[in-house]
Amino acid sequence: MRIGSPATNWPDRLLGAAFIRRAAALWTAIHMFVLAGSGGTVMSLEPLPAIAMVAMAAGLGVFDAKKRHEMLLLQNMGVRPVMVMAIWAAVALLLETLATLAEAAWR
Amino acid sequence: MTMLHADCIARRLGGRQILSAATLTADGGTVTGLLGRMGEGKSTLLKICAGLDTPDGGWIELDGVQYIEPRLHELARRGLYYLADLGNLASALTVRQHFDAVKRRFSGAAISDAIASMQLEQLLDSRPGAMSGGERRRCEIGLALARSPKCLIADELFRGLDPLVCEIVGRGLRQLAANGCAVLVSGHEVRALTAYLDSVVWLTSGTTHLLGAPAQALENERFRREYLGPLTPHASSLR
Repeated sequence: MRIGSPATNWPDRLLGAAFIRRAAALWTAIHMFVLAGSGGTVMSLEPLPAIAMVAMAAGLGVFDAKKRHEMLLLQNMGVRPVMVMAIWAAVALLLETLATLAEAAWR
Repeated sequence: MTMLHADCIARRLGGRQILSAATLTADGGTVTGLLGRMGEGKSTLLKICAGLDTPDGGWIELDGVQYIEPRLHELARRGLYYLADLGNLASALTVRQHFDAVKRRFSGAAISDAIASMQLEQLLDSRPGAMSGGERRRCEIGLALARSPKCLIADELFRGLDPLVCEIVGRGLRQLAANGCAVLVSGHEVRALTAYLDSVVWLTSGTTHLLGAPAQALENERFRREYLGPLTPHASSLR
């Protein structure tokens, strides 16, 4: 019996959830550092550093997935490598937006 | 039926012409062995066939569709499965989670048959880091069996495996071929590999030579002289 090919680019739910967790952990670590550096007054980043952080998250996502031997498995399952970057970048962008909104509301 | 065909593949790496006019064909239901000395470009050719490297010239055809710059995820959707020599299993997932992922991705995957065939029952809750090289290879072939690809490309499949694991993995290859899969493997373990091959392709000086069945290949004078070495017994005594 020939098995059908996958239609979606979304990674398997286990790996997808792992990417979201790791991206959130990276974002939290960066912001803990920013928060500590500002003496507890700054939560969100300025636009330019925020963009740099999102780009860094995307790059780190691919590096991390390769290091953990997840990239080849994903590609064998028909998932585009760029999806890994997209998930990491989306998580970082979402959390940054939420932090900016939360900080604006706080002030 | 030809499942995978790579034609006139050229690749230059580090200022050296690795491949100049390499041609490779894998037919459904057969196991083809790609043999050649180290550094001749076997892995490069297989990576190009799998869409992990871009050739400087030539093209790939998988299941009737031509690609100039193929990508693995595209080819995988059309039924290709690629096994690198190392690092095919995600270190964060257990064997069971790998099989579950394949099952979710490819509906109808025959998971239990694949697990039984590769004798993985005791390893289902293990992670790759806690497994031996042979156990990982059995798991990788088990995943390929569960995926039931149209074409399997496996680089250095038997490297570092003991004879018993070679036999289990070799049986897995034959099982895939019996299901209609075109299997393409590379390696240097001539004695172990030839037992499972239908045909041998020799890669030397940047190009490929189809030598025919393993017995014919082992009788080929140039292949014996330039690859196997003068002390290798003839085909009749290897079998």
